[in-house]
Amino acid sequence: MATDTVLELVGVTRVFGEGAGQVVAVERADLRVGKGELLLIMGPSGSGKTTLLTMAGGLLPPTSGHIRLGGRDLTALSDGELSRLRQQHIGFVFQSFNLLAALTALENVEVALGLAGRDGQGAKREARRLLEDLGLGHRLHHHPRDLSGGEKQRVSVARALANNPELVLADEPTANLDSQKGREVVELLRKVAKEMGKTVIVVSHDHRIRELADRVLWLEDGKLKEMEVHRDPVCGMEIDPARAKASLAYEGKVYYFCAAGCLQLFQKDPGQFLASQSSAL
Amino acid sequence: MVSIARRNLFAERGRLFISVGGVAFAVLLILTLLGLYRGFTRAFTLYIDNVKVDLWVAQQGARADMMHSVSLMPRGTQGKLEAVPGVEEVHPFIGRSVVFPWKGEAVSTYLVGYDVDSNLGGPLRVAQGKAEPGPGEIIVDKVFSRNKGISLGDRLPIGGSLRADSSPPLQVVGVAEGGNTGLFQFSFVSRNEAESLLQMTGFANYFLVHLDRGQDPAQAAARIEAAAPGVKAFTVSAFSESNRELLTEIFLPIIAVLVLIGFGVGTVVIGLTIYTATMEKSREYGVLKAIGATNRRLYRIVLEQAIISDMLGYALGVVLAFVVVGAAERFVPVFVADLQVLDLAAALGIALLMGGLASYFPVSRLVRLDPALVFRA
Repeated sequence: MATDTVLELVGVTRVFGEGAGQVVAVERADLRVGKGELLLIMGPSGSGKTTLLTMAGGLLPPTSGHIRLGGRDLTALSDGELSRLRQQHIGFVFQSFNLLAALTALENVEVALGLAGRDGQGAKREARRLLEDLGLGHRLHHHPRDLSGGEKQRVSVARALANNPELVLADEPTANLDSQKGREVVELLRKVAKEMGKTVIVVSHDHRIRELADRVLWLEDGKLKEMEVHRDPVCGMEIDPARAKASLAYEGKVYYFCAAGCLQLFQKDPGQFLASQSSAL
Repeated sequence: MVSIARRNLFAERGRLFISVGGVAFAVLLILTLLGLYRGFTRAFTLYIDNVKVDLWVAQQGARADMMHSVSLMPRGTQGKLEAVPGVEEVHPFIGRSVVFPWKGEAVSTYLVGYDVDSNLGGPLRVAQGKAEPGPGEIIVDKVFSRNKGISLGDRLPIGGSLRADSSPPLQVVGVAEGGNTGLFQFSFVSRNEAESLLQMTGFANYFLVHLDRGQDPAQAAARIEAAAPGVKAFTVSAFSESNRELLTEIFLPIIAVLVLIGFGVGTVVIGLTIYTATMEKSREYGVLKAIGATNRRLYRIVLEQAIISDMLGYALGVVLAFVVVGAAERFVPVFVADLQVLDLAAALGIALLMGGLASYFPVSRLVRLDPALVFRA
């Protein structure tokens, strides 16, 4: 394991169910993420992104393979040890913010500190500092119901950072936000990676994040691979497979289309478009 | 750390109200029943416990409780008892339940004929009127007086056709306290009056025995039974206990069932509210689990919620119990309740048990909580 590698997945597989109903959610995934890196994992719904994130967070054991965080093998830890690990070394940012409704913004952050054994005025000061750093100094005593989506997500980020973790896992952090707030949150996560030196893994469908990520991986049918740039073979437009209007397997390769019309043209004479694609390359 | 349990509870006032109300109702029911039981058992033998004698002697084979007593002994037995070594003096006791018509209904009282000169077996405290009944006079209990609308100066037609002469009804000359057993009330006349009224001349229902100083009552009772065949001698505590047995046999099972119902209602109400609150917050518990809370920490949150609801419900229930018991004693004179520290402690234990049981099901759900839940939109 390289010295700056924070998270490492080695041959990680997760299978749900048995027999005919068996589903392989993640298959032999290998991954290394370094300190200060912002990694984006994309993929269609049901591709295993959340399962991968859950395993990386020590919330779900893999069926086989190993997950190492800062040199510790998560698969060898007990439930209690995993809880302590999550308290101190992993921060979570959720799609639905998942703040505790009965607590104020300040208390939501304090809870994370309290779970790690930091109580009293010191914890309160630390929670306040984190929220103020994220521009929420004026919203400390507001309950989640009184905060906007962007503010809630910033409280969620503050909670994730409360115990100065090495790894921050964010699940669809922009899904419930408008484009401006979504971008602000992603920029904040980038800042967390670059200025605070945290390893940040974001799972998302949001293609707007791609430009801010250091690396983008594609997860489909449980398999993790480097993100390819897909182009519609008919019109040449860059296509995000998750947002493609249509796809077609042809001669062992999957092609993605921006519209049903492009697919129909392709189906009439694939050779014409593949030849022009080859010549373009 | 900020108390999540407390914040969750007080954030949902309606649910808290139901939960606290359920426990309060259970505690109220349990305390009132326990108080009623204590009150009845104390009141039931208050009279017996305060008759200053060493032994009660009854007819052998008769039930020892006064309510159902058919103990009847010839007056000649008194001499046999007085002859027993260690016996200082013996007083005949006449007493039995009588029914008489009053304001259109048949009412009953336990009529005691006692030795007015020694006051042995007389009323415990006279609250109104004369302290001693003369010929043709009666002292009634305060509860009996209030329940039946009997006042000083009223004339009670007790005895009816039993009366040996054609003397007029008994006139109420005093109202006494301490003669309410809950099931019936004592009324007092002179022994001569009772003998005449109940045609008991030459007989006694019980004999009240004083022993010489330093005599052991149990040993003296054994000597009496040996010397006077056909009698059974009781120490005061044994006689009191055998009278209480009647109450215990009748009421204890009923009270036990009602306490159990109260316990069940309280447990179900608090259990359901805590369970639904936990299930509704299962996502939040998942979040806590994800950010490092151990299962034990989650249990503590649920248990703390149950205990807080419990304690608030208990406090409210205790206050309500005192209010209800106080009001009942005021408006329903026959109602006797005695709330003791021991019962308050028992109710507290029951309330805590309710909280513990109520949190069992939510906690068992938390064990199975899938942490991946927090990643679902």
